[in-house]
Amino acid sequence: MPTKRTGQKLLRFDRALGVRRVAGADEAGRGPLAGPLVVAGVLLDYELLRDHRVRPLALLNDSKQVDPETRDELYRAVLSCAERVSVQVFPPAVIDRDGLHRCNLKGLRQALWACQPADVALVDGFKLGPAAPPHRAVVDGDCKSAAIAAASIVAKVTRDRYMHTADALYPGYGFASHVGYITPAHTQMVRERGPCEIHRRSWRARAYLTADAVD
Amino acid sequence: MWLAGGELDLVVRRGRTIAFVEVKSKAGCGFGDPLEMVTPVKIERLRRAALAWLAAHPELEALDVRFDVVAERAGRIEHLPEAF
Repeated sequence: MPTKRTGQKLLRFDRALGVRRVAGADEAGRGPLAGPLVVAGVLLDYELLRDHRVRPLALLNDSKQVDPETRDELYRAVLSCAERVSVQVFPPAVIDRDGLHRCNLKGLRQALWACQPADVALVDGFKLGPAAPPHRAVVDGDCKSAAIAAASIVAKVTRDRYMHTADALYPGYGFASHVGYITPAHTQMVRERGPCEIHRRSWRARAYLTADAVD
Repeated sequence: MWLAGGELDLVVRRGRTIAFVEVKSKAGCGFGDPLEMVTPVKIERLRRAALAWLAAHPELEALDVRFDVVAERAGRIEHLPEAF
């Protein structure tokens, strides 16, 4: 359970940038065997987020650090506080075709373009190159900046909700519980039944499947 | 080389691209596919190490970054570009 102090720390980081509008971008779904990569961008206007208006974000934290209920609550809070929210979805077939890192960078660029006008744009991890709007890369950004943490919440919740739907469409794989990540049960199921439409066919999937199952 | 808690096997530059290459070979037998050892946790460590490496080489900041895996599978050397 996150404390309000964490949220305050994240908000302080953004405010210390000394500008009005801060955009943040982050992704969810780099690690799984199945399902999309989801990249989100959030634009926060700190001129408007004063006093009680910022209160919903007080529990803000990196999406990996909070339980699902708090994450849903934070998702609603971000949607109510943000000036702009952008979500880019990269389906498994596109990840297989273009590569995960490339999709990731493309999504982060698009997310930051969608969150203009920003005075400062922040991204978790790698620099995005000249095709992106001016930005700063922050290592461990989701634990430092409120805008990036907000984007990580939106990406994670959007992806998890899709994977719950996918569980109904492709029953038996357990997508509602592991949301596509590698668990012994998930690996076992793929080996027995073969991959379904939303399993990534790239190299890591091949490592978990028999050669027959992939072809 | 070890950086930020992760180990980089190879850093290769060709033109405007810099590739961080993870090399995996099957050590002994009965441990499954070597690619299975490239876990999400391992991948996050490699990304961190790459970030630390790039931070130490600011002149290369504008290059495109790529992550490859080279693995020995079933007696063959397999190169997986853009692996993660």
